[in-house]
Parts: sequence; C-alpha cells; structure tokens
Amino acid sequence: MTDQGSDPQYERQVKTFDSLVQAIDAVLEQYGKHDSLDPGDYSVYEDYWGFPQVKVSIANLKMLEPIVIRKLQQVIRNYPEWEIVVAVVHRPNYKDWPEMGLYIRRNEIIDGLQRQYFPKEFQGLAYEGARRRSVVD
Amino acid sequence: MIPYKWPVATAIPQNPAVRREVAKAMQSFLEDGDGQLRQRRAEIASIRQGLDEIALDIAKFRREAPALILSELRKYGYNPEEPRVPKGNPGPGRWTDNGTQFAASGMDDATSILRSRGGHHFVPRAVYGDLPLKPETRKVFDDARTGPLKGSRHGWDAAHDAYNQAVADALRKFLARNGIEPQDMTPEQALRFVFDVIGSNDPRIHDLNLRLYRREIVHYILHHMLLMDPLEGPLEIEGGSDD
Repeated sequence: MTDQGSDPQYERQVKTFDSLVQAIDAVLEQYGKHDSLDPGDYSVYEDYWGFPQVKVSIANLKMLEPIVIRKLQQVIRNYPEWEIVVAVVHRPNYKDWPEMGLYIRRNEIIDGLQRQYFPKEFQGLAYEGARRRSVVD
Repeated sequence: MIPYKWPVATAIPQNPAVRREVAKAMQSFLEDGDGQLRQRRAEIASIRQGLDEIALDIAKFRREAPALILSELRKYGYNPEEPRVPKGNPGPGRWTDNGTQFAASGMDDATSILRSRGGHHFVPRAVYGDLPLKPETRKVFDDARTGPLKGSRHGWDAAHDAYNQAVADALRKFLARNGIEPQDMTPEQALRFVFDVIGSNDPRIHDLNLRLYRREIVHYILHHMLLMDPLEGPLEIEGGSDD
C-alpha cells in the first residue's frame, strides 16, 4: 500500500488495465447483465492488484458460451502479457462448488471448469484451442 | 493360557563385533536424528515466532487503523464533532445531512489520503457504478481505496464475488435503515458507509480485507527485512511472489 503514484511504469500498467476492463465489459454486456446494487450475471473486478490480469466472476453459466469466451480472447490478443481470469461462482452458497474457471490468454485457454457440477445443458461446453490446467499453470 | 509366540524369530546377532557395530550405527543414527530434530524444532519455533509477530502486527493495525485515519482526516479539517441529530429526534446521534457543511469542513480534501491510484476499492465500483449518486458522493467511493498493491495474483476463488455481494447487501441495508435514496446520499453518509465497510465483521468483507493487509505485511517483511534462521544465519529470499 505504498505510494507508487509517481512510478511511470505503474501508471502505464493501470492505464492498460483500465482500458482492458472497458473492453471486457463491452463484450460481456452484449450477453448478460453486470452486477450492480442487485446481483447480475457477471462482474468485472475493476481494481488493479499489480499483476497483469483482469478478473471476471461469472454467476450465470450462459456467460460461458463459447462465443463469449472467443470474443474475450479476441480482446486479450491486443494485450500481450495480460490474461483474463474467469472465475465461476455459485451464489449464494459458494462452497457448494469447488473453485473453477478459465485463464484466457492471447494464445491459449486454460480450462479448469468442472462440468460435472453444471446443469446438463452446460456440461458440453468446449473451447477451441483449450487445454486442461497442468501443474505449471 | 497358551503363551503368545511371535511368529518371526527376532534376529539378534550373536557375534559381539557385529553387535558393537550395530550399536555404533544406531548411536550415530540417533545423534544425526537428534541434530536434525533440533534443527527442525528451531526452524518451527522461528516460523511460529514470525507468524505470531505478523498476527500481532495485523491485530495492532486493525486496532490502530481507525484512529490513524481519523488523525489524518483531522489534519485536513475534518471534525467528528460536527452537528448530529439530537436525542428525541428520528435517528439520534446521526450526522446531519447538510452537504454544504461537508464542503466547508474540508472533508472533501481529507479523503485524499485514500486517493492513491490503483489498489482495492473498499466499496467496489460494481456496487455503486450504476447508482444515480451526486458527483461529490461518488467521489468518496471512488477515492476510498487501499492505494497500490504489490503483485497479488488472482485465482478462481470466489472471494471477490462474495465481497461484492456482501458490500451490496450492506449498502442496501444502510440506505433502507437511514431512509436514503441513492440520489440523495450525501458525502458524509458515503464516508460513514466506507468506514462501516472497513470495520465490518461480515466474514465475506473482513476476510478479503484482512488477506490484503496480510499480503502487504508479508511482502514488506520479505522485501524489506532481514530474516534470520537461528542456525543458518540470514535467509536468502528468492523471487517476488507473495503466494
């Protein structure tokens, strides 16, 4: 929590982060409703934590449709070194499901979804070029 | 009673020279084992002491943070003794909702201590972004954040989502309890809500904030303090990961 306000590199990272958040929001709002005072289908975490990532929480599984994920990957292709962390959350009883999600990078998608927890219509979700998570991820 | 007989004969060497060698080997094994055990115990004691100190630091920080923030706010003219609703009226003890009073007190400038770019918003933008707040009220939420954080990597955990939902729940209750419409919320009320969040005992809020403080403290210790191993001397810490 030190003051990094005068660090030009940090300022650039925050600027890139803000621009990426906007681009991600622009994709997701075409397919669902973001959280506000009332719960929506998803939320984009808009605070930069010093690591080149943007975190998205998905509460409605329709937001995991391949077309949405493909468009998010198109966005991240313009941001080398950055990744989108998609966390699937089960509200309000979060512990009913294990932690799971996707890492969307410009050249790959790391798939950590545990589809056995999903309703039947979402168990067949598949992403082109995706691979399962390994110990090095 | 039939005497119990172990089915496998115990192999005790009969040759005294062999027995001496076995005894010597066992002795040396025990000594090595004792040495390793002592070293391990010392390491564990050192780690435990380090953790105890971190726990004390966090507890101290939690105790002192509100006073420190208030002390900083006072430097900029904030007066916690500003007029409040008198006893006998609805909402006794609450601050009055006079926006001009807020501006005159200098509280607008006072929040600058929380205005460093980046970091974690105590009230997430996802919660208030769509509300029809007055610009000066929105600014309080915009500015209420930790300041830059040090390289914490996100995973697939639901902590952020739970935090956002908890703060949204709290804000809905705050507005309902005080009979406030979002468009009428004053900067003082917004700041009061920020402090409610910072001091919240809701585990969904408290746990994430504590995790952030803990990471910052650990990062500080790893990067700014010389750690000593009681047996090996100074520890060399590699890399910058906080995980």
